[in-house]
Amino acid sequence: MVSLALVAWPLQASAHSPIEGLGAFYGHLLHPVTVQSHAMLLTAVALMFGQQGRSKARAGVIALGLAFAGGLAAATTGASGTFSVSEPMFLLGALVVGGAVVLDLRVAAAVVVSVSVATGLIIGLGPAPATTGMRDKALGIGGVATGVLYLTIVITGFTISLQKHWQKIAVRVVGSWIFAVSMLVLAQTIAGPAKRVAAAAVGFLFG
Amino acid sequence: MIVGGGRIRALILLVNLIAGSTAGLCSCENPNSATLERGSLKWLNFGMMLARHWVIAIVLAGCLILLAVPAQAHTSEGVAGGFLSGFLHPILGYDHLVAMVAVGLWGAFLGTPAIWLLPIVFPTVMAIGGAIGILGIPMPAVDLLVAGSAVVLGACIALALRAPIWIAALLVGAFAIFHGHAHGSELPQAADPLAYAFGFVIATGLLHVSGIGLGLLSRYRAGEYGVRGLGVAIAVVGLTFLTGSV
Repeated sequence: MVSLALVAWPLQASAHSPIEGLGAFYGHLLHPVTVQSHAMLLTAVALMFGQQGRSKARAGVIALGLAFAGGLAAATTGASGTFSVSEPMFLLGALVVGGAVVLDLRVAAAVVVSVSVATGLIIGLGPAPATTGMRDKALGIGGVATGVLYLTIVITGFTISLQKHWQKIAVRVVGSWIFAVSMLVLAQTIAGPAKRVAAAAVGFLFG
Repeated sequence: MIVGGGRIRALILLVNLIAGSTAGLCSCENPNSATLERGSLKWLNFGMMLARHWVIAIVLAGCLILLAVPAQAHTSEGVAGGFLSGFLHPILGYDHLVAMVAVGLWGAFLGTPAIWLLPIVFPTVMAIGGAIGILGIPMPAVDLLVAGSAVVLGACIALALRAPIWIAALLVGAFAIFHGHAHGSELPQAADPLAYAFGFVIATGLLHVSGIGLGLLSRYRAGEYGVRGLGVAIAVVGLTFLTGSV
């Protein structure tokens, strides 16, 4: 419930330390919660893990942690090159996984691991901790890693613990909210280019 | 002494509700005590169920949250600012509000699985309608059908219509597209679209929960009349908007 409340009451999206004076560790610890699209994707993925049962959820969390570490390492060392993640990627991920939560889909372990790897990579490849000095950078990386894994593990564990019928339905309701928000914002993101393409097509055909 | 007055009966009910025990009712010594006992116990059970039912507590808390008026010392962000404006959008639009509550009410009235299915169907399909609105694809008579949804759903509740689940889901889903279109058309003006979308989706969900909570009262005879009365009120509100938009 605390996690859901944090997602429901997000602060302004910020790639870096969201609250002045918190320091490198705590500032980055809050990163996955205060950046709405990250929080939404992580919540959807954790809910899906929880729906899959204990063993698949465990594999999913481990895969997500490893992929996140890999992505973070690539982003921090510059090994990712010119590749950069954008908000629509998170929204698309939240849309697909949120849809799976709504439908309460039971998928193979390989699918769970694939979703975990994709999620871990795009979150890890997100903006690297913007701190100066090796110490602060290490604290920032530690903070964001702790935040991502903590959020995922807590929501996954909580979802697994829900055994009553209405509780499982409540998980699907939250999934439907994530699906709805993702679809709306994604539609707005593509609305501009889509309208331009439509106008160009109309001009080409009838102009 | 004959204890037949409504006030005394209500007092007994209140005292026992506070005490959380039925022991006090069983000590009456008068010719009408059996009748009183049965009558009071009936109401007492009803009251105790109400008092103890955690769903009611949550719904009451939800209603209080929904009724809370935000402090607006500064309104620099305009109508479509962020989370708060998104949250208030379905609540301050009374045609949306009554329809959302009606979805929960009707779901509770229909029982399982509709009570759970309709609140999942509505936001999911509403998002599709919202996307259509955001992309600027026009839909006919949006305001008319938003108001019409309140009339139809209110009538379904008032008439205690127990439709098959697929018809209920289809009807609610169809109306959800128009509600979503109306919300979606306003999203592009939002300063923070993600927060705005969060706000109105969560408000919509809470309105459904409020409707479900009220609808659970239909398990009791008096509650069923109350819920059907709410259905009439919803239909009347919808009709008012309908005549306004024609």
